Amino acid sequence: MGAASDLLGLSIGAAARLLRDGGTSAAELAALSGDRIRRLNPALNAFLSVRPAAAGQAEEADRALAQGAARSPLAGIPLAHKDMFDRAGETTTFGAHAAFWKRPESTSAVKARLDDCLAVDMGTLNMSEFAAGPTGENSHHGRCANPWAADRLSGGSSSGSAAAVAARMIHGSIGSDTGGSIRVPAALCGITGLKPTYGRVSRHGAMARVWSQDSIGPLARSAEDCALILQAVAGPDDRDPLSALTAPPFELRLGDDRPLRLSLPNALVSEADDDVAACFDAALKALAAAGVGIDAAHWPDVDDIHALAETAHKAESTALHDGQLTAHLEKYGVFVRQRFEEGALIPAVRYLQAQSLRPVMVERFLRDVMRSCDAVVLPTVACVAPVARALEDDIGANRQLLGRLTRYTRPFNYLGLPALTVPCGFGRDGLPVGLQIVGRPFDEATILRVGHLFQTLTDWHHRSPDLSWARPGARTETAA
Amino acid sequence: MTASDLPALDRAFVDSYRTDERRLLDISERTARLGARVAELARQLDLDRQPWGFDSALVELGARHGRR
Repeated sequence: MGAASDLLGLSIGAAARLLRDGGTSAAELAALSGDRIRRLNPALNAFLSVRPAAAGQAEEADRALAQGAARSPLAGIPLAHKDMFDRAGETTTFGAHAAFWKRPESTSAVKARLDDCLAVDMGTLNMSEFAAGPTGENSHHGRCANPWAADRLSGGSSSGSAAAVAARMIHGSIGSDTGGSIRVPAALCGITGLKPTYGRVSRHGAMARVWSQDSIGPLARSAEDCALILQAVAGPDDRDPLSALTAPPFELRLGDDRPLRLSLPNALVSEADDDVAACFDAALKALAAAGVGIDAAHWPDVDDIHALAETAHKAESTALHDGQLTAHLEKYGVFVRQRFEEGALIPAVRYLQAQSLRPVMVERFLRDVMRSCDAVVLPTVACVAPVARALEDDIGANRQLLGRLTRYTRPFNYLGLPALTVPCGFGRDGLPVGLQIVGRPFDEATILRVGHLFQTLTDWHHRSPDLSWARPGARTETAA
Repeated sequence: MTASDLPALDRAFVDSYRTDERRLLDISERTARLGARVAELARQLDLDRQPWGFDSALVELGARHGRR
C-alpha cells in the first residue's frame, strides 16, 4: 500500500487519533480521498458526483481540531453517502432518470448530524434505481462494479456505498436497507454494514422506498466504525414521528465482557452454498472458541414472513410511485417498473393484514428463535457475488436472483430488528462472505459487541481488494 | 385463469400501466397466491386479537425484551 491507501485504510478511530495528534489533517485526508476517487471511479462507478464543498468542510474540521473544539471522532473523516439523502441546494438523483432528480431546500437529518460532527462529505454514491434491487445494476447511471472482481455484482441497493468503502475511497457511508440494501452489498464487497432497528435513525429528508420497512444505517470497514457512525446519526427527531418515539437510547458497549449466547436457525442456514456454509461454520467455531455459547433454533415462520414482507413491499412501492409511474413509465428501468406496478393488484385488506401481523411475528421470533440468547447468527447472503449479466428483460431470472440475494435479510426488515453483517472469509473465486448477526429491538449495542468480538478474533475486515485492474490504463469490462 | 376472468379493476391496470394481458395474468395469479397466504396467516394467528400499530409495539417489545 502507498501512503494514500495507508491513511485511507485506517479505521475511523485510528484516523481520528492521528488527526488529533497532528499526524495528518482533514485537508490531507480529503485530498487523498479525492485523488483515489478520481483514479478508481472510472472503473468502479461507485461515485455519481464529487463535492467541491468537501475541501471547505475539511478546512473547517481542521480549524476545530486545532482549537480542540472537535468533539466527535468523525471530525475530518472522509465519508460519502448513497444518493438519496437531501442536501440543501445540491442535486439528489435517487439513482433514477434525470426527470426525477431534485434540488432540495433543506438537508436530511442524517447529513445534518454528520455535518454537526464535522465529518467531510466527499460526494454522492451510486445506488440501484429508487433503491429497488439487490444487484447494484442501474440502467441510468451504469453498474457499480464489485472491487473484488470487475465482472461480479456489487450487490444493492447501497452499491456505491459498499464499493467505495471496500476500495478505500472513503472510511464510511450512510446507506438504506429495506430488504437487505445495506447488508447485501456490504457482504458481497467484504465490508461491515448495520441495519439499525426500524425507527432508530431519522428518515427526514431521505427517499422513502417502503416506508414501513426502511432503515437508514452505516457501512464501514468494522463494527467499531459502524458504531461510531451510528452514534452520530441515531436518536429522536421530531421530523420523523417514528424516531421520536421513546426508544431506549443507543449506548456503545463494545467492551462489555458478560457471557454471550447466540442462536442458530439450522434449517435456514442449510440453504446456503457450500463455500458460504464453510466460512459460516468457521466463523461460529472462532466465536465458540472464544467462549460464546451457540444454541440451535427452529424458525418455522421464515417463508410466511417473506410473503408478508412482499405484500407490504409491493403495495407501498406502487402507492409511492403510482402517479409518476403511469405518467413517466418509459423513464423507469424495465425491472423497477415491473416491480413497482405489481402492487396495484394487492387488495387493501391483504396489505393491512400483513402490517397488522408484524407485532405477532416479532413476538414469535423473540419467543421461538431468540429465547434466552443475545443474538441470532446466519449467513448474510446464501452465495458469493454472482456474475453480472444483463437480466433487465428477464422477469423470471430477475425475480429468482432477487429472492436468492435477500433470502436471509428481508425478514428482519419486516420484523424491524437490527442486523449487522461482518466479513467472515472468502468463498469460491476469492469472493467475500458475510456473517449476519440479528438482535432484539433497539439492541444494536449487543450485535455490534458480537461483531467487534469477532473482528478481534479474525482479520477478514482488514483484507482489501487488489484494485490493479481498476487503475487508469488497466483494461476493464465494467459498464460505464 | 384466462383473460375473461379478470375483473374490471384489473383491466384498468392494463390501461394505466400500458402492459398486456399476459403479464397481467401472471401478476394476478401471483398476487392471488400471495393474498391467499396472507389471509390464511391472519386467520391462523388470530389477527383480531391484537391489530395495533407496529411502531409502538416494537418500542414496547424493545423495552420488554431489549436485553436478555
